[in-house]
Amino acid sequence: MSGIYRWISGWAAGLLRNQPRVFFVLLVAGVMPIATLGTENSTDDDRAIAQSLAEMLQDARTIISNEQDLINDPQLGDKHLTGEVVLDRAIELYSRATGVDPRKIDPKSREGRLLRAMMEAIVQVVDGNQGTINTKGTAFKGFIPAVFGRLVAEEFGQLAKGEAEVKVTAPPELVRNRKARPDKWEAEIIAAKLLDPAWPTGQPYSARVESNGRPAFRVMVPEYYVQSCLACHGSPKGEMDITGYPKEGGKLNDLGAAISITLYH
Amino acid sequence: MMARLAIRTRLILLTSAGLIVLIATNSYLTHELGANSAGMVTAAELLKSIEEANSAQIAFGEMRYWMTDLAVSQLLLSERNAAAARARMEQHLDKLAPWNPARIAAVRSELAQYEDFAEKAVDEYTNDRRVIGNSLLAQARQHSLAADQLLASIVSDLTDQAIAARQKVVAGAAMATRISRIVVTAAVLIGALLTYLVLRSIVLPLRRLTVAMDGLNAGNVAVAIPGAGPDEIGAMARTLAIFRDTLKELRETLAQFEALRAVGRAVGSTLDLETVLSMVVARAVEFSHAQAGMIYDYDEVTREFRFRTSYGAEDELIEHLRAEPIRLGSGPISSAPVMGSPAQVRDLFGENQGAGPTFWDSLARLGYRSLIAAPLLDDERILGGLVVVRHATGDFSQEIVSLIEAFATQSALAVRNAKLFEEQRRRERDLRAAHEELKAAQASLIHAEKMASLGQLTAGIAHEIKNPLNFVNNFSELSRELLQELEETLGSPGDEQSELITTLTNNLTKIAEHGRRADGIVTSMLLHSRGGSGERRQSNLNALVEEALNLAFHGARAKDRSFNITLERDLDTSIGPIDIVPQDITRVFLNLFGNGFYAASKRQSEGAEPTFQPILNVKTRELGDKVEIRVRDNGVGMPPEVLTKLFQPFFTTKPTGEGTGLGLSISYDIVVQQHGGTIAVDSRVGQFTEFILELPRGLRGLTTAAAGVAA
Repeated sequence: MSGIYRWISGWAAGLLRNQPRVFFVLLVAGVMPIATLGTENSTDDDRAIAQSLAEMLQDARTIISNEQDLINDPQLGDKHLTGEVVLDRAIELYSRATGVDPRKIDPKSREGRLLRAMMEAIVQVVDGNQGTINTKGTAFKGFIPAVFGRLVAEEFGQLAKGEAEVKVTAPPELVRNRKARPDKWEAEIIAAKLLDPAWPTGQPYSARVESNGRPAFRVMVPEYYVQSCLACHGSPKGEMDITGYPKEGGKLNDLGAAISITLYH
Repeated sequence: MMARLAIRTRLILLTSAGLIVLIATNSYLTHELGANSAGMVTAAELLKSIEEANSAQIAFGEMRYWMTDLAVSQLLLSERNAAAARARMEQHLDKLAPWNPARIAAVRSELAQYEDFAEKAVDEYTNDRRVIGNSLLAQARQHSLAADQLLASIVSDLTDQAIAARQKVVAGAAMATRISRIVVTAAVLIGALLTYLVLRSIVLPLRRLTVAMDGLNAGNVAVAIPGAGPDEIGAMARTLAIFRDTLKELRETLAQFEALRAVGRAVGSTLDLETVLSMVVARAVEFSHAQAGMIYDYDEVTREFRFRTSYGAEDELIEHLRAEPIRLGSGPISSAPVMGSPAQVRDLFGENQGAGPTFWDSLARLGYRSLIAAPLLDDERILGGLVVVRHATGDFSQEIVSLIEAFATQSALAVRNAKLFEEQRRRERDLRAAHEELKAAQASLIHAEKMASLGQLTAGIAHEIKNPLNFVNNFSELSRELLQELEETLGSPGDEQSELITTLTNNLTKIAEHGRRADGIVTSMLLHSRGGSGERRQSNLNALVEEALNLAFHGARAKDRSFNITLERDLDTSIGPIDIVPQDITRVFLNLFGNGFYAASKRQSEGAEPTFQPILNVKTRELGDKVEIRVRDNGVGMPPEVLTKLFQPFFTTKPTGEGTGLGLSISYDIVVQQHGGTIAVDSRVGQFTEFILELPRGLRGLTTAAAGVAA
């Protein structure tokens, strides 16, 4: 419980310090009802772990997003954007957002273990794509935040060894990669909750459900379009974006994605 | 052949032929087009099937592409594109299914198997089991190839069938085109021929009709009208012919009317009968289409028709016609007046003619074969006849008969007018003569009145002068006797005394002489005013002439011994006794003879030509109820201004003392007023003077005024 509060306070402090780096998910944290978080210890822990994993993923993705110009510079070969660099910047963001240094979280705890798996996944994905990132002569290299997020989530699944899964999914009509397709539960939550106009903006949804035949705590963290998202997902609808995919016609603050975190018990 | 059909029938036949050809061609082409269209539909359906098969193949290709892309990219867009391609392929296969359901079912089977394996392969790729994914994709590829081959074979078969269908359509179209061309060519040729024939059968007669109508419009009634066929143009030709005949008749009638009008105008305006009759006979010949015509006068006395004028007749014929009058009632010509209507001889050789043989012989010899004769009648009075002869035989038409009758009427009118005019002229002449006589009588009366007034005045003056003159004469005579006694008394008077006595005696002698002369004048005046005192009695005028000649001649010789003149007498012994006052008539003769002697002597004395012989000629002549006396001298004659004053009292051309100017005045009174006769004078200066006296045998011509004066 104390960990959760530490995480939340650190997150809020980070939010206040670094507004430009605010991601829409962070907005949700400020309005998250405290009562909800403190109803049950295990649930609260799961929710805190899920939020922490989501924060790390989002921070790393923010770094990749911010470095798109560098990544797509055709003149420059080695960008020195290694896994370590990205992770350090992500940790910095994470720390700013949560006020907690993830590296100091007990690695034996479930949260520490899973957060480290996430950080490891970030490093492996960035390092595994150094060839792509450092390719000279090609401008757009396709190493965009969404791909990065999906690769990190997939890598995280491998590293978590069945203890947890992270997936960046979206409403079905907005999903581009079949690996990001929402499963049945995810699709229902998106449709019934996250897309409900009455659903508080940014509020995650969590529930204890059975997943793949196992009891699990599942959290759906909504993600909303900010201006930088609309370059590929905005209007006009159907126009090809830089990746060659038709734009979805999304508007600012529309629900654009959801980070699905499954914590198995 | 066309001309035997009505134009409507011709056009119907032509149109029907065209329609039959058109319908037949159209039916054939419709049939061929139907067959062709069916072939085209089949070919189109096959092409559509080919298109569907190709599209299915393309869709299948797209589907495989997107499935492969999906396996690699994992993008849901590729999955959606693959699904869309799959749906399109299904649609194309649905459309192809009716063509060959079994083969399409085979394709679907292969497609389903491909899809199954491919989807499994994608799932495996999604779950990062690439090896299994590759294996499944390899299996999917087998079915893909099978489906491809099936679709390719379908396309190939459909293409073969489409080519066959198209070739069939093309062959059918080519055949239809050839047949259509042949039929159209034949139809065009036959149609053109039929059209030419129909048009020719219409246009040519119409053109001839147009020419005829133009001719008629231009007034040419002799224009040829095309033959009247049984068609509408024939009807038009018949109508046009009737119109032409009517026009011709109208023109002829108009011409006849104009001729009659001209003749009538001539009859009304021209009094020259020859001109009118010549015009009538010329027009009669012209409008009866004959060759010659004559007009005869009728002599009521001899009851014969005599040739007057002619038109177109030969000289020989005219000569015979002049020489051979036609007696009334002797033959058809002269029988016309009896009947009062025109008579015809339709064949001069075939009828018994009543005219003279010369007339008929002449007509026959000159080629005339028929004639028509119309009488010129004034009521029932026969004035003459109009005869028209021609070379053709046969009856003259009723129009010509009427026309000849009209001309005859005009001729009769002209003859009657001419006779009336002649009568009128004669009456006018008589009237003019009567008027002249009346004017002369009026002048004579005025003159007589004037003379009577002068006579009364003269009588009064003479009576008043007579007494003083008697005193003058008597006292002059007495004075001369007294002077003679004075001389005797004186015995031997002195010279001076003797001279005075002689002078006085001479003066008194002159006084006495002129007194006597004055007394003679006064006596004559009294005698003039008294108008004669003798009594009328039956007298021998020739004896009075002889007596007066002798008295006058000897009186003249008494005055002038050198006087001589030739006296010529032409006395009509048939003149019987005439009732006159012999003394007065003798005075008249003495005056006239004395004047004649004077004029002849004067001409001689005034230096006439050496051969000139004074002559006085006296003629008497019996004129029935009156007697004429002419006294003519070859003296100096008188100018007209003298003639107008000749019978005025005291007018004289003689020197003073030689004439009183009362001789002719007294003579005028005696002849005109006392005896009711006339006295006229004719004279030419230097040639002659002739007095013409007419004395009635009784007092019938004496006017009241003259009688009154005479009384």
